[in-house]
Amino acid sequence: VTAVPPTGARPARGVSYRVWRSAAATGAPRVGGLLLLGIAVLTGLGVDASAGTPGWANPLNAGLVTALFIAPVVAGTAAAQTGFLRRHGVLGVARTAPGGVPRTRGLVLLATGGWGGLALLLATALIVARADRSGPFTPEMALLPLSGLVGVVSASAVGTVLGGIRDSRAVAPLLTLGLFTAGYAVSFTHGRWLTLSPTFPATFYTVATQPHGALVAAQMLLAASIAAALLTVSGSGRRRTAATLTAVVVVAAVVGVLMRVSPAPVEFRTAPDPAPCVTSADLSMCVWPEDLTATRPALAALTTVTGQIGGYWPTARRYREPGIIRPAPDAPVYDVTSISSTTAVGFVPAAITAVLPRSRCPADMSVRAAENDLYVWLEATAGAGPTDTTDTPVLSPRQRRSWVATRLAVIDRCRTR
Amino acid sequence: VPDPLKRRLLLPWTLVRGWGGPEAALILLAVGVLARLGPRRVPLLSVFTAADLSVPTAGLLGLLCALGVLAGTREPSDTLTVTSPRPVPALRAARVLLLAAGSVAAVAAGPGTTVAAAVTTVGALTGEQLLLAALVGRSFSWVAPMTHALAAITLGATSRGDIAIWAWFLDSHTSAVGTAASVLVFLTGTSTWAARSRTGDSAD
Repeated sequence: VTAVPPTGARPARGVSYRVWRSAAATGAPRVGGLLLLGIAVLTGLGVDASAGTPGWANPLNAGLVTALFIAPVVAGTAAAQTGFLRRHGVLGVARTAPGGVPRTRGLVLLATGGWGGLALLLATALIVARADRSGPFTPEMALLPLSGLVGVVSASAVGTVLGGIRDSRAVAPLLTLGLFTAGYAVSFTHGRWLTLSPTFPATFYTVATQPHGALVAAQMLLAASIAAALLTVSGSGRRRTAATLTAVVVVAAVVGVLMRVSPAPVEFRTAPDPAPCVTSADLSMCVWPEDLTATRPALAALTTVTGQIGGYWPTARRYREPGIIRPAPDAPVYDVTSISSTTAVGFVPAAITAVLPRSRCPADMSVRAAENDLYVWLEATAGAGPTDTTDTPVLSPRQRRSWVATRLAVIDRCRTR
Repeated sequence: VPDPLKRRLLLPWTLVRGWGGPEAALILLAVGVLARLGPRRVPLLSVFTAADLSVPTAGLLGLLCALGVLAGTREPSDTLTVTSPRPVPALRAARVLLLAAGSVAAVAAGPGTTVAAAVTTVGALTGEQLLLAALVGRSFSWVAPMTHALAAITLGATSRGDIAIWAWFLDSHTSAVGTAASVLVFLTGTSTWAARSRTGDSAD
């Protein structure tokens, strides 16, 4: 045996681009990566983002939803590749290399995570490119693709660790199925469990709302902490104990934060102070700057509805969009944030909701019936609903006055109860 | 010394075990039980749409069937198949056809599931897997049906009231074109996989 003289060169600590490229272009990372890129193009072109209101939040959210299947597939390919290396003794050889097993594992993580991240960004870019981006953009919206990337890399870490522990061929597909099923099922939960949902498929952002920054940040931290904990647990020595304890503390802290933040995936954007207000006749509404073009038909619908009910019930003169505080904090909310109509008829339902007195007894059937009667009548008289309905019989002006007064009295009785 | 009957059964049993028969049978049995007793429909995500959309569970069972077929296409020794003087491709194709028939029967065991729907889902996902297995080996071939199926259930019905064309195997209203496409994918995958017997499966 000839001893190799020391060269004085220190072993490389990181992963060079050449090594990473080589790892990404072989085995499971290449197969999974190319398939993910293909399916990312299909999904990116398949999502019709024109259905949403203008802005970045909805297309970025749809891009995040692709992480729901990209992350499990990435976890599976990472597990398959690490298992393959373990079966063929490459991990054993790596133990004698300068970087050891962690470096080899890191290489698989970066290779599979890199492909997954690329697929996620490609799908997101295609969806965003085809959407109407004229609406608002806030830093919280940028958290959505970042959250997807963190999820993909964390899933890759989980797969890398599991593949290094169990090299059975069944581990990778079972891990993929398990992760997907868990993520998919939690997307349909409600209440506090929703904070654990990594994506928000049923969420629809309006011009007034944005992703819940604290929730998304806590979710990202949780995913990264779990991945870090798994990676350190599978290491060795004192560092492992210290890192494991740190990871456990971080995970516990993040779960604590998640239990405290609101589970709603949306929050109001910071409103302009003061918000612009538009006046027409004797009515005015304060709106988000992006909705200024919609104020004319919105005020026309409001004028029609207040004109109908104004003789029976005192109506407000000033209204505001959701999330607007100044200059009219106590004004009734007139929510036109998700209406894309250019005619007054399209705003009538929102105007009725803003003008009709609110009942405090939603469980009372007589109150609900009275509210429904008034809603249908107002909708029909404003030309926005069916004109031929049994709920709004043809009545003389005097009978109509009595008909409306009776229903308003029912609602009022509930309010004063 | 084993008795003649045991001796006669030993060879086929060894062969079937080497080919992953028990694992495949177990998975297909699980598919049959799921089709029979599992939930009838699976909800799809509602991204950009308020419409509630769901697909029959049978549309997704093709994925489990593909994994069953993967288990049943194992070769105990690549060297034997590569050097065999007998026509191994035909034997491999016959095994795949048998497993696919079992898969279709398992999926179609569910109430209300037509044979055409079962053929559509099993054919598409199994065919993709065999095609990838022929190209890169069995170890990573599950990635193809898995990626396709998971992407389909996640975004295959986005922004629309029906299923996207690339997620055709989920559709409960199976069209003749969809079934034909699945059969074509399956036949391509099977023939490519069977022909690969002469080159071995180095990725395993």
